[in-house]
Amino acid sequence: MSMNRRTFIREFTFTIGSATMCFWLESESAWGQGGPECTLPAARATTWVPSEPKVLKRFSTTEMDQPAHAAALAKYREAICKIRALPANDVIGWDKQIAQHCLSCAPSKPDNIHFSQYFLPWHRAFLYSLERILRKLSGDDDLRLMYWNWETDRTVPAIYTKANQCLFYQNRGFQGLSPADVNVQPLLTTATWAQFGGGGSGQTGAAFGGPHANVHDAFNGDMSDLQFSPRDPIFYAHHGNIDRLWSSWVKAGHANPDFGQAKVYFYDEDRKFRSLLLNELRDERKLGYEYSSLMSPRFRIPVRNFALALNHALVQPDPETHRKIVTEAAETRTLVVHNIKGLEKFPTSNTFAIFGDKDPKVGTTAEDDPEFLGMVATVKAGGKVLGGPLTAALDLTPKLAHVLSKDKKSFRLSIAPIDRQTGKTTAPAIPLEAEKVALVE
Amino acid sequence: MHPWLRCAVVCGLLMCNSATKNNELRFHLSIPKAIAAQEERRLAGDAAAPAPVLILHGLEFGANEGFKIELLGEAKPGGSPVSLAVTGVVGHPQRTPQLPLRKIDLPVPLNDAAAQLLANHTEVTIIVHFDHVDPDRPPVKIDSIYFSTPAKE
Repeated sequence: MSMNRRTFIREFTFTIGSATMCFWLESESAWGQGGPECTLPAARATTWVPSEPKVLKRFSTTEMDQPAHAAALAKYREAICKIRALPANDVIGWDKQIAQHCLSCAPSKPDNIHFSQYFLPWHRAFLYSLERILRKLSGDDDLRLMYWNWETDRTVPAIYTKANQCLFYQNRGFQGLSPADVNVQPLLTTATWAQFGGGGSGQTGAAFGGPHANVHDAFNGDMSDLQFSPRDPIFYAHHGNIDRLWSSWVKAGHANPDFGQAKVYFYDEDRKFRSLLLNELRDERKLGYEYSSLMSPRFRIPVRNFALALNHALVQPDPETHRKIVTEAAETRTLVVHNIKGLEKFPTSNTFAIFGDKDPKVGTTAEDDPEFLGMVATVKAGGKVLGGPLTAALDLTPKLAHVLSKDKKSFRLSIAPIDRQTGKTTAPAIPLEAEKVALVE
Repeated sequence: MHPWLRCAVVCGLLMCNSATKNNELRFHLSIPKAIAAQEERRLAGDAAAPAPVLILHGLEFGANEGFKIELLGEAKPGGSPVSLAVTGVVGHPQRTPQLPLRKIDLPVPLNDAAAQLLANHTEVTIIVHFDHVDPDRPPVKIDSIYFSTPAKE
């Protein structure tokens, strides 16, 4: 159905009021200004509510390159060939996919969708509408788009670089990506939608910058063009990963906004002009897909402090603590012995060696003994050892296997004075008594 | 203006900024207490502490112009700069920014290195370095930068 420009604008204004989604507002006037890749016919939109019978996975380009997905990749590639072969003026053809993006990103548009909170939902709708068109063209309702996980694969996926096939594109000058270019970690922890997704016009979301912009710009070709980047088939795999970033941000515990009555407009697979509420786009499962994996915030491992029972020098963790210590890896493990007691038995010594499951003889070189756990020293001043609580922090990272293991549920601690010059014990060891013992990871 | 933005304007006091090179801007910022405390929590391994976010306020560029932006931080002026984030704007380098010019606010969440730089500190120097910029282009303009501190609802 066609309509004149005045009618179209009235329809638009009625549906979204003052919201800044003026997708295709200038569509009629754009005819002839940018060729088929930047023009679309205006039409009266009918409301479209997603109703997908099944939720299927969108796989990564790496996964799709595996033999198990060979048939799905062939279908996808064939569907891209078909859409690229459609006439330039076909409203669901390749040129018109580019036109949708071009019209919403024109430099003259004050409300360019890239620079507001509509960046993520608009592109989700853009990909979703393409996915449905490809499903129709391929005759395969199980077809789903894929994503390029550039966080782990920083080169252009091989399935897009082989010449003479429909995922290939000539105008690429890929310059490579560094880990910093594709670091999604800070994005995943941004606290608010305003920071992550953006706000009103000009209030860009962090998701627009960072990996999104860096990957586009790394291509130094059409992919680096804000309006015409969808010419390159890799665009859709790149934005698949940006869409996955949004899903991952939500999965990490953040809340989506209420987009109110704001809508996006597109031609569906039956060439009907449709409007879709942005609120319908907040859950990708409603659109019939989910990602084969999501990005995870890699938080620092919090410090873990295991209190260990100490009974007459015998250190014995409870079964659950023992299981965690021996089965869960840690970068460092430090045994902290708080307020060691009984050192008054060695009034002239101020340096002590601590051993596990051993009572070394006098004259033992502590450092050479495999059961030696570490040293601790008090302060000597004016010929006297200063009293006060003495706490030892012993790095057990390399020695843990001697201290606790799957079959070793406890260990004894002993302490002996040593000569600081020779490193040898100067008296028989005694059982170590302390206020408490803990293992800190 | 969002409540968090208003708060950030107040809290993230811009102390001074100066252009040192054609492709670089330097800003000396006070660190809001909430950000310093948040970074202390991150440094201590608090998984719930979010990354700090710097807002590049009034970043100006040409139509369809693009470039790369690296944010670096110095604990003291003249100290060794640490990379805090790499972000950018999609488009091509332009010798003369094409009209109409666009101005945006771009939030940039900072990486883990920021925790060392901001925890227990009151001031920091931020260097905004522009890459992939045409060498003959006039300097890129930013009105100000500040830390975003979400206000409690």
